[in-house]
Amino acid sequence: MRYYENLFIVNPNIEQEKFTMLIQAVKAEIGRLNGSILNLEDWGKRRLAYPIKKNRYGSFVLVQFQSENVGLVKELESWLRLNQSILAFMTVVLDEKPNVPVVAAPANPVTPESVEK
Amino acid sequence: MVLLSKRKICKFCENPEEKVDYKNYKVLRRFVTEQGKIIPSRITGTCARHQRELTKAIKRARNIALLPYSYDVTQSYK
Repeated sequence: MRYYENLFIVNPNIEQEKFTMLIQAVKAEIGRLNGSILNLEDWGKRRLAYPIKKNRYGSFVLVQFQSENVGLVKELESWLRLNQSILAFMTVVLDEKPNVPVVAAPANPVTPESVEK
Repeated sequence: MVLLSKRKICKFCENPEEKVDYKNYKVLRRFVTEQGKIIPSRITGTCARHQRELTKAIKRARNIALLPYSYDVTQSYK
């Protein structure tokens, strides 16, 4: 059994509804690949350290999961890559079972007013 | 002055609660210069083991846009 975590950045300009659907889709995909989700955290909208695909902000989502399926990461990443709303993602193998919940790195919450288009 | 100051102690050894983690970019930011470069352990006093973890964490944080790869100092200070 291996523990993984994936942090991905969603385009902040998509509607809330689509965002929720996307999260569901990610969950479903991990489930389909024989992974079980331990923790899912929405960090909300943050400023990116550098622009990605011309976006200066992004919604960060952290998923932690476990699986026996060795090919999972490869398949999950190729699936994520196809999604236009996902700006970036990174999967990391964890050394040990993660403590749930993880303390979300304290945000500088971005208010809608402070965002310039 | 830095030269006269007592021996530096590794921040992560001092406080074992604090794990080196790429998600905790607020801590990592203390170990990079204004330009975004990783500060050598001889300056920060980080021990070898934690410096190794630190470089990895910083590079991961850069990959996912939590930390910049580089930062143009001249531009932000005008």
